[in-house]
Parts: sequence; structure tokens; C-alpha cells
Amino acid sequence: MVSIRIDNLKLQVPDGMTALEAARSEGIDIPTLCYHKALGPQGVCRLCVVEAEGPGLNRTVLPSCNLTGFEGLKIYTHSPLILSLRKTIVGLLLANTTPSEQLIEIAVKLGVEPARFRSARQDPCLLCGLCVKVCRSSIGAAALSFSGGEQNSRVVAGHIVMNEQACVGCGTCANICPVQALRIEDSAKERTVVLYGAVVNRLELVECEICGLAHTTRKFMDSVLARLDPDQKSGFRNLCPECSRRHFAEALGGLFPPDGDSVS
Amino acid sequence: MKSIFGTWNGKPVEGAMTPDYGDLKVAAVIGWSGIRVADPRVDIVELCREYARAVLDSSCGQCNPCRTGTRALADLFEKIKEGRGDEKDLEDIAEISRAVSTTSMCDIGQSSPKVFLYLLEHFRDDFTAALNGGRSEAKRVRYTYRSMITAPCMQACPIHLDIPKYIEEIKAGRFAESLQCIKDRLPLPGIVGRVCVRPCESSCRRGLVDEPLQIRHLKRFVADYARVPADKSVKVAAGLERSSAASPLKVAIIGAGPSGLTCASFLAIKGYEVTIFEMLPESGGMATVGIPDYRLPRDIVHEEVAEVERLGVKIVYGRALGPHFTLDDLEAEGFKAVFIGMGCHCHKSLDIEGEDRGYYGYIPGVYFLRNINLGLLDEVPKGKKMVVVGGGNVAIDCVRTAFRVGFEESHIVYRRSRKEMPADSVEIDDAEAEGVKYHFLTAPKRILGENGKIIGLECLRMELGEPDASGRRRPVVVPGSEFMIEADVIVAAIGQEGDFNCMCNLPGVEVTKKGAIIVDENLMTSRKGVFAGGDCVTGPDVLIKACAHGRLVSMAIDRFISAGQTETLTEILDEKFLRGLEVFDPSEKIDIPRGTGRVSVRHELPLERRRDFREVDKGYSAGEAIAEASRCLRCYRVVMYACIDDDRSASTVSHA
Repeated sequence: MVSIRIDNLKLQVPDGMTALEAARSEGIDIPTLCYHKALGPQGVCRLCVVEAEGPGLNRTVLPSCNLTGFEGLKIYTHSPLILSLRKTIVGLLLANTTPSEQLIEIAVKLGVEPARFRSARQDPCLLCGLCVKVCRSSIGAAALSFSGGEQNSRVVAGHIVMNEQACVGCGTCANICPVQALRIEDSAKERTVVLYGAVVNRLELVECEICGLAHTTRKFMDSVLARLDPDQKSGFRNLCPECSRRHFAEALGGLFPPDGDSVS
Repeated sequence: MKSIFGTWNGKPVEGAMTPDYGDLKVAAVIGWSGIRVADPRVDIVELCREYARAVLDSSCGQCNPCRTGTRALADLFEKIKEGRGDEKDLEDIAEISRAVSTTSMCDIGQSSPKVFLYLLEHFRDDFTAALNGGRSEAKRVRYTYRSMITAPCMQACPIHLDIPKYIEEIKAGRFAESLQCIKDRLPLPGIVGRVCVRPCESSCRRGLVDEPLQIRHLKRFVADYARVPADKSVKVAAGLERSSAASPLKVAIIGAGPSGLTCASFLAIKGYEVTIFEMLPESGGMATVGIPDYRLPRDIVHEEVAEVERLGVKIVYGRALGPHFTLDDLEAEGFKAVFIGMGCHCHKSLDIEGEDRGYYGYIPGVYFLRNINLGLLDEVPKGKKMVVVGGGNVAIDCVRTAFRVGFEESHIVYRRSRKEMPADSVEIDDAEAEGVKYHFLTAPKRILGENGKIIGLECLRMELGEPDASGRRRPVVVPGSEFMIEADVIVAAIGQEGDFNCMCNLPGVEVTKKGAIIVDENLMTSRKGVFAGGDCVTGPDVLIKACAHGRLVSMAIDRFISAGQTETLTEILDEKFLRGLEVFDPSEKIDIPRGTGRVSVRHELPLERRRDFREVDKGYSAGEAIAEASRCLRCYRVVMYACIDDDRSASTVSHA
């Protein structure tokens, strides 16, 4: 455990906990767009900046998602400087990308006027990279990546591109995207993956063996099966989430005493 | 031109010259750290617009403030320059500049917009004038703008590899792209990735926080990654492709060392027919015969040489300039240009009593290493105890090699202390771990022999006195402190400096009194069409510098042959320009938390490895490389200069 101070609050936090997690655990609101608890810091939206100081560290502005707590760290989450920086960043984002619900909510909270800085060019999305990261590190498909712009360009993150061969159609990207730039649309037999409004992949859906709902893609099912060892495979059943829940609940049913038989 | 006004790294630039740029009249320089103005007519608003565009083009787009902020800044300056701006826009520029410089992820965003804040304060009138319809006609001069990107590590690297870029590619898991980025400037990543003295790491800003990045090991990692058979496809993609528009013009290169191979590679890519003449039966030059296999396995050299040969380069072994052919012969055979990269394979004698007695057991370090590397073990003196005199990398290579060829004891005699040793500190520690004994503050006085064989080295104790010209404290003899170290073999490794007596006589090529080849800025000798680089010009120097020379010469030769031009290369002017800008400030205080130290490299255990020539460092795994790459602060800096357009044509912009 290390002792840190957030605004005027003295805290003991576990080793390795970030300033952002510590603040949120105390109910202190620090806005973020690119942070997802399961994926760790991205450090790209920079809305979570705080002022930090401590032993060996002069007071400076740092992103809290990436700032691991250390003994004697003090952070200021809502200082006048931080509030003004956040407003500018949000203003820039509003001008440079199609505003999402999340962004508008943050803008309203901070009191940013919608048309702060007008810009002719717009980014297709926030370019937060959550979809790229989740596809690579959690799903293991690495179907999404950043384009590098044109030849000889120094741009590393131009827009998102899809490699449809690698895509298993799991839909996690659509689930995690904070601006709905990635979406999935299911018909009876087919799932389409839509990126920036254009269909980038079509995948065959499989039906739940109990209720017949077309609930996931064959490719995703295959990729899951490929990761199972023989023991796990033998018990594998193709079930939709709802049937799966019911199926396993029934299996667990016998383990508990029936209603009315209270345990003393 | 004189600077009339300026500020750089927070200090005023007083009367200093704007960086020299050949014949160009540099009117102003704008960059990460300030501005220098030499011409009072320079249009500050236009300068800002061009710089803002250059910064926008350099932004990688990963973090929001830099991507969106630099775009907004470029738009705002454009608007003001076109006379459509208002006071509010100036406020917006200040606000955005502050936000981008305090919240961006890397140094493009952090460093670049600061100058706008400074200019808004000190040149307010210029901006206000622009808002009110522009500048007066009298001040109107056309300027050409040119921007460049650099970084402390890139600047320190003699061949100026785009280090932040290839590290970024590693971080993203794009190893083939990373290797390609290195190969764009350097065809020998596996060799350099093992033996470079890494000036980049001494200029790494991460070192001001905790520890510098292991840049060399990262380079080695991507080079090795492409060697793994499973990744053959990567190798093809990353390989250098020979230009299809081949012209059959012939170029001769003397010496298949690092500079010759680099030069040959780039000339072959440009379509020249290149022949390398190598005196020894092996290619690689000093990298092969001067560096033991436990640091640089021969396979690596062979593979990288083979890659150069695949481009169509022919290597002729056992043929030396001087004994076998002359420059005139080459000319007669139709070679349009010659590059001399023959290195400096000589040694400096100890200049002590007994050295010239011809005792069995005395050998200069460079010959000791060369004989072992060429497999000439009969020419290596045998014994149980070896004493090496010297403190540089050759001395360390000799003393560590001693165990590997059967010596039981291995000693180093060095006249200053450990701190002053010029050898790589990692090597010094590795040698100690293997059991090398150090005798610091000890100088050789006399080689002792009996029956024609060495029996020991008489030494003197030293003390450190006042600092000498090199800044190191001068060793002073302690009178009457003589003592003897028993030895069967004594190796002299006190450097090769200032001794070029082995250099052959080259008609029409001027050399210094000591024998180094004299060259101009483009590395051309006094004989037209004959170029020289590497150790035969500089004296014994580091490998990467020789590669840098080889690369520059390839450009100079191409221009000489194709256009007959001999003016200084833009590349060399750029280099001089950037050198004048203090890209790395070692006194800078970087406010980020410390404590993410470098990922250490696995190596063979000292007592297991010391008896054979297996490679000591094992290199990074992919995971380790990505973790190390993630420590990079990406300290890119954008700089731009404006120069007066003499022909008054429309102002042109080129962003290098």
C-alpha cells in the first residue's frame, strides 16, 4: 500500500493502482473517453489529465490513467489549470470529430460551447484505439489496425482499417467503441460489420441448438473451439447467451436446497 | 548572416550566427525551442503558418490534443495570414498552444507550439497588422521554407537513423516495418545492433528520468527477428530491392568493411555496378577481424554481406590497392568513381624498454584479434598468463579473448582509474565477471624477458593529477613504485591513433603527415572522382561512423557521376545546421515519475561462456522488446528555416 493524496483526500491505495482508479474509487469524477478498465491505459484522449507532484516530481500535468500511485504522490483533479485544459481538449474534439453522446455529455458537464474551434477536416472517429487493442490483445484476431496515412507520411494513427480475413465477427469492437464508428448488424443468417458507415465484412451466423436464435458467427465459434483442450471441448454446446444461462442454472439447481427448506 | 534577434532553449541568442547553410541566405529559424531571426523583413505570421503546417504533417495522430490541436493551429494561422482573422483567433491560438504543449503524449506536441506563445507575446504587432489586412508592400520578400524533423537520439547517431520511428514500430508489433526503417539508412542492422557504441543512448532523454532506452538491443531484436526461418516472408519484404532502372556505370570500392558495404549497398540500389576489392580472404573489415565472435558471431556478418551481394555487388577477395592494382588501373578499367574505405589496421607501440627485443610473447592487440578471427592460431603466442596494456575496447576484446583461446589468467594494465576507461562500461563489467583482473593506476615500464621469451611486465604505480586536454585527470608516476606482473604474453592495445604508416601510397591523393586521407565535405579526396571514408580518414573510430561515411559517399558518388556535381550535399548542410541547434539538453529536467528502468538483456553465464566463442548477449524476446520500446518518450522535434528567394519566384515550400 502507498499513501497518496487526491485533492484534499488522504488515501491508502494498493501498489500499482493508477491515480485514475484511485480517484474513481473515491467517487471523484475524472472524464475519459479512451479508458477501459479491462484494457488498461491507452493515454490518447488526454481528458484524464491531472496535476501531479511528489518526491522527485515537480508539479506537472500528467494523464491519470497512466500514472501509477507512489508514496507521497499528490494529485489535483479539478484545479483551474486542469479544468481549462480539459475544456480546450474537449473543444478541439468537438470541432474535429462527429460528437458522440459520451463526448457531448462531458462537454455539457464542463460547460464547453459546441462550436469552439471550427475545423474543415474531421476525423472519422476518436481514434482512441480501443477496438484495435481489444481485437489484438483480448480476442487475439488482430483484425483491426491503424492506417498509416499516405506514403512518406509520419501519421501513425490515420483511421481504422479492417483485415476481413482475420476478423472472426465477435462484435467486441462494436461493443467497446465509444462513438459507434464500428457496428454489427445481424440478419437471419448473416452478420455484417460496419465501419464508418460502410460494410467491411460479412460473416455466417450459427443458430443456438436449443432455441434456434442466430447468436454468433461460425468463425467466432471455431476460434473459441480452437482454444479449448479436449476435455473442455467434449462438454461444449452451441448455446445462445440466454439458453446458456438457463442451461447452467439448471445444472446448478440440484446443489441448493429446495424453496422453504431454510438452513438453520 | 548575423542573428539580430532570437531566443533558444530559453536563453537569448546574442549576436550568434544563424546556422550556416552553404550559399542559402537563411533569414530565420523556427523550432521547438525558439526562434532566430537574421532578416528583419521576415514575415513572422507566414513563418508561423508554415511551421504550424510542418508540425501538423509531423504529428503522428495518436493522441488527441496533438492531432486535433496542430490541425486547429494550422487552420488558424492560415486564416490570419489570409486576412480573415480576428482578435479571438489570436486568443484561440494561445489557448490551443498551451493545451497541446502541456497535455500531448510525445514531444512533437509538447515542444512545437511553445514558440507560438512566445511570438504572440513579442511580435503582437505583426499579428495585429495581419488581422488588419496584411503587411506593407515594402517589407514583402519571398521566402522558401524547409522543415526537418530530428530528435536527440537521431542527432547523436552518426548515420541519423529514425530511432523514434523504428522504436514506435516495435511498440506496435510491426517488426518488419521497424527493420525497413533502419535499412532505409543502414544495411547492416545485425552488426550495428551488436557492436555499436550507441551514442544515441547517451543522448536519450529517458536517461534524464531513469535509464536510457536499450536502443542497440532493440535494433538487434528486429534484425534477429527477420532471421527466424518462420519469418522468411518478413525478410523478403524488408530486404533492400535493387533499382530496376539500372545504369551500367561502374564504381569500385576498396575494402569490404562497414563503410564499403554500406556504400556498395546504396549504390547498387541506385543501379550502379559495384565491385568491392578486399585485401583479406574475409569480408566485414574490422567488424570481422577486429571484433571477437562472442560479441559478433560470424554468421551475422556473412548474412548481411550476402544481402549486399544479392543486390548485385561483386566482392573480389585477396586484392589490395597498391600491391595488386592502382587507381589508374581502375580508371582504365572503366570505373567512374572509386571509394576508399580501407580502414586503419595499424597499432601504436608502447614505447617502453624491451618492446623491440623480439621476445616471443609480444603482440599488438589488433594483430592478436585479427589472427584469431582469421583462424591463424599458429601466429598467436601461447602461454598461461596474458597481460594486456590499455583501456579501450580493443584491450577489453583481447583480455576476454585470452580465456577463450586457453589462457588461465588474464590481466589488464591501465594507467588511469576505471572511471576514465574509454571502453564500454558494459564490456568492462562483463570482462570482470569472466575473471579478468584489473590493475588500475598502473603503467608499463619495461618488458622483461629471458632466453628470448617474455617472463613479465615491470610496472609503475600512478596517481591522478590535474585534468589534461581531454578533461580526464592526468596520471602521474609514483617514484620508486616499480613492481612486476608475471606474464607469458603481453598485448599492446593502447590505441591506433595517429599511426597510418601502413597506408599505401596513392598518387594524386593527398594525405596528412600521419597518413590519413584528406577529404572535402563530400568526402572526395584531392583526386577527382576518388572518395574516401571511415577509419582511413578519421583514424580509428566507431563502426557506425564508417557506415555513415559510406552512405554519404554513395550519395556524393551518385551525384558526381550522374550530374558531375561536387558541391556540398544538402544532407551534409542539414547535418551541420541541426548540430548548431542543441537538440539534446543534458541539463533538462523532465517532470515524469521515475522508476521504469530498462529491460535487461539475458546473457550466457560468465563461467560457462568464458571458454568458448558463443555469443554472450542473447537478445530480447518479442515481449521484452515491446516492453522496452514502450519506455520511449518519442522526443521528436520539428525545426524549419526560411531563406530568401533570390529569383523572387512564388514562395515555395518543401518539407523534408
